[in-house]
Amino acid sequence: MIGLLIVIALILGIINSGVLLLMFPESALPATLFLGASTILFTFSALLFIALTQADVFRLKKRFKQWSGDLEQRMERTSEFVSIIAHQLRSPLTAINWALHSLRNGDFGKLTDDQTKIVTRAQTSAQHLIDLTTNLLQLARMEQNRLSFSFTSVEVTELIEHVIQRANLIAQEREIALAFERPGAPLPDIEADREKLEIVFENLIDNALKYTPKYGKVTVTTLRDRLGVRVNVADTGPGISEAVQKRMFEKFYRGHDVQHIKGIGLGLYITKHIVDNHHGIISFKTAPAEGTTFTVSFPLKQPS
Amino acid sequence: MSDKKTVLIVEDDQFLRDLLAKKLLDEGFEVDTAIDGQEGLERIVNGKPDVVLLDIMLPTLDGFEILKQVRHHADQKVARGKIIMLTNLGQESDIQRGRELGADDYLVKANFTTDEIVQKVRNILST
Repeated sequence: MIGLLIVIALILGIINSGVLLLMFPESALPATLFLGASTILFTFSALLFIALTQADVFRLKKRFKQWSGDLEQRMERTSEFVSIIAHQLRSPLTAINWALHSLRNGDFGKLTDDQTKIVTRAQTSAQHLIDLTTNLLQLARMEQNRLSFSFTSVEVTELIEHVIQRANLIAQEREIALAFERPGAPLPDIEADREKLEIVFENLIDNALKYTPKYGKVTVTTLRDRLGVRVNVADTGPGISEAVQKRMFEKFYRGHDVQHIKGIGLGLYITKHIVDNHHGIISFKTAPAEGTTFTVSFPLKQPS
Repeated sequence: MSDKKTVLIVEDDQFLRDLLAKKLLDEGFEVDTAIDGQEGLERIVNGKPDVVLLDIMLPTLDGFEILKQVRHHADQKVARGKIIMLTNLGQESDIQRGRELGADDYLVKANFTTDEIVQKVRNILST
């Protein structure tokens, strides 16, 4: 019986470490020493087993650390690369955008209707690429833990007007009515990071325009609420399926039913991150064939 | 001597500089340009423009360094000139630093059209 225990303990040790053969017939041990020797051997085997297991765990740990270190480094390099590329793209894209804007404005002579149409389309494409670089830069900074927030007093209404002015171009091209319903009474300023907040409104309005069919309507409203200031972005799109709702705030996630619509699945992920960092709340209401309303609420002051 | 306001554009991207210069000229401003930091600083000190549109990332001398030297300049007319920082990325650290160094305003180039930039220039001149 004891012999069997020794064998089991040794086998466990062997399984863990490769091949170790230790053989001794029971008859070779003097009868008087048998019990004591067995106990010692058993203990020895058990310790050996533990030691070997520990050594393995240690080895695995070391290897795992190395792997995760490598992976982290590689991710960091990728983020850096994305950041550099996005940065390099921005100046020429901005120049293209400015040039097309000037053309469309008639700064270089009056355009025919057809020319205006084509220049408008070119400009919305340029705008789309600029927005993409904005999101990629945010993502890279998030991945590198370099996304910091600088809070100042922000006038939400003015900021939304600025974003809508740009979005109007896309709305006109897609023949969607984009409306901003200003609040009856002026809203109080909120403590926020202006550039980041701009990205939030840009992403929400851009999404609404993307998923709303031609002749649809996108309405932005602002109001005072319990938390501070609330902004709604309502569309008359197809609504969001339950399966998509569960995952739409994930990085790079795109609904399987919207693959025909341009995007890389970063907008809501970044938006939520920014709202969270403002101690705000993001929520949505959606109904099939009726549309979706995204709501973001921000406190007036950030906790110190 | 005309009463036209002078705007100095310090920007190393030629295309951006040309587009902005044309817009400002069309809008009735006197326009001066500089393509790097050193030249930009010289033009500010010698030309004393009413408004400077100052890029941050520049060869020879970056926008922050120019801003610092201008704000500490012995000639008060130079030191108190209006400066709008132009940023490519809108990094909060850049904006914060610009503010601390005494920039009057800042704008992320990609988020503004040339019309809106002209509006910013007008706003700053009216303060």
